[in-house]
Amino acid sequence: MIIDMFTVIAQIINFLILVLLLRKFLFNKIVGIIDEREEQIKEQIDSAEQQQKEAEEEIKKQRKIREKMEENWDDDLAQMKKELQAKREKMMEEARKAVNEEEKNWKNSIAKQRDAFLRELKQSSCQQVCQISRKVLADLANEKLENQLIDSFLQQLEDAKDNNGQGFLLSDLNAKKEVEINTAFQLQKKEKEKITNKLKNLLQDEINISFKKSEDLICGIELRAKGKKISWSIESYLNSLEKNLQKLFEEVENQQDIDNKEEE
Amino acid sequence: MEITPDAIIYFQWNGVHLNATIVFTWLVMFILALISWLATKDLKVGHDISRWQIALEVIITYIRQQIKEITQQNPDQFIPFLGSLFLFISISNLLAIVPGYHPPTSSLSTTSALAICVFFAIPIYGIGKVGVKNYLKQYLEPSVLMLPFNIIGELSRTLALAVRLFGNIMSGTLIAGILLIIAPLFLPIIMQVLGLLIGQIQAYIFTVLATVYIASATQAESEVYQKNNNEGSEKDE
Repeated sequence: MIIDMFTVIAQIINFLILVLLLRKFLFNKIVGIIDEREEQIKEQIDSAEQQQKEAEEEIKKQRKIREKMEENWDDDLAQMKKELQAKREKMMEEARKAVNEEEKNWKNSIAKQRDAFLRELKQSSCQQVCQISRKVLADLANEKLENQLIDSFLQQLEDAKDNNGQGFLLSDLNAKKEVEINTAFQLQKKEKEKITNKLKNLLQDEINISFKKSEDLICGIELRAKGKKISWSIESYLNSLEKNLQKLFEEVENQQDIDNKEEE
Repeated sequence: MEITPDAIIYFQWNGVHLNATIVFTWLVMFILALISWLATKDLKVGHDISRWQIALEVIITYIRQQIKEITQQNPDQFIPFLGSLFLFISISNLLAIVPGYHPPTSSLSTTSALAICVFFAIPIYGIGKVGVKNYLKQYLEPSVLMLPFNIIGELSRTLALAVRLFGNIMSGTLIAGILLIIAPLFLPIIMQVLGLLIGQIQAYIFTVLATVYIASATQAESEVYQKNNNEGSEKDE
C-alpha cells in the first residue's frame, strides 16, 4: 500500500504544526515589519512632500523679495548714477575754473614779463641807438650828437612857429613866461645860450628859462611850460619799435595758441 | 529500491511507527522554524537590516505578490497557509540534493496529507468569506443537476494535487536511480539538476493551484452573493 494512513494523519498534524510555527515566527513578523516599513516610508514621503511644499513657498517668498530688491536696485543705481554725474560735472567745472584761473595768472605773468622785457629793451635800445648815433655822427660829421639834437629841437620850434597849427603853443608860452628845458645830458653854457637866444628870438618876450637834467629822457630834449611841452626824443622812434615788437609777440602767441589747439 | 520513504521504518511500537517520511518532515520543519526564528529574532524597520531578514522579506514579498495577483484580494489572510505550503514543499524538494535524504514529498502519504489540508482549507476560507449558505449554493450552480459533478470535481482535483506532486518528486529520484545504472558518469548529475528544477516548479504549481482553488471558492462565492443580491434588488423593483 502506497498510502499509509498513520503517516497521512501524522503529516497532516505535522503540516498544521508547521503552519502555526511559521505563522508565529515568520509570516506575521515579516508581514508586520513590511507593513510597518511601508507605513514609515509613506510617512516619510508625506513629510518630504510637506517639506517640499514649504520649501517651494519659501522659494517663492525669497524670489519675491529678490525681485523687489532688484527693482529697487535699478532705482538706486539710477539715483547713484545721477549723483555721480552731478558730482563729476561739479568737479569738472571746478577743475575748469582752476585751469582758467591758472591760465589767466600765467598769461598775466607772461604779459608782465613781456612788458618788462619790452621796457628794458626800449631803454637799452635807446641807449644803444644813442651811442651808435653819437659815434656815427662823431665819425661822419665830427659833431656831437647833443649839438645835432639841439639843432633838431630848435628847428622843430621854428617849424612850430611857421606852422599855424601849432601856433597856439607859442602864444601859450608867451603867456606863461616860465619855460623849463629838460635834457638827458648836461648842457654846455654855449648850448644853453644858443637855446635861450633862439627862444627869445621866437617868443620875443622876456621869459625865464630854467635848465634841468632828466635821466628819463634817455636821449632827447624837452620844453615844458605849465603842462605844455615840445620835445624831441629818440623815444618817439623807439615807441614805434616797441609797438612793432608787441605786435610781433602777440602774433607769435596767437600762433602758439592755434598750435596748441591743433595738438589737442 | 523503495518507491516511497514510508517503507523505511526506524522505530515501531504498538502500531505507531516512525518512518523516514515523518523523520525528514520533522527535519524540514526544524530547519524552517530555526531559520525563521533566527531571522525574525531581531527585526528592524530602518537601517542595518540583516541579510536573513532581507532574504526572507524578498521571498515573502514575492509570495504575497503572487497570491494577490491570483486572488485579487488581501493576501495576508492566505499567506500563513499558502506560504507554509510553498516553503515546506520547496525546502523538502531542495534538500533532495543532500545524500541520504529522502524528500517527504516523494511519499504519497505526505502529498495526500497536504492535498487533504487544501481540500479542507477551501471551504474554510470560502465559508469564512461568504458564509455557509452562499458557499453551499456554489455546488448547486449553474443547476441542482450539477451537484454530483461539482463534488466529484472537488475530490478529483484534490487527488490530482496529491498524485501530481508525488509522481513528479518520486519519479525524479527514481529516474536518477535508474540512470545511475545505465550511464553512471555525468547523466545522473544533469538529471539531479533537472530534479531540483522540477522540485521547485512542483512546489510553485502545488501552491498556485491551491491558491486558485481557494481564490475561486472565495471569489465565486462573492460573485454568487453579488448576483443574488442583484437579482433580489431587481425583483424589488
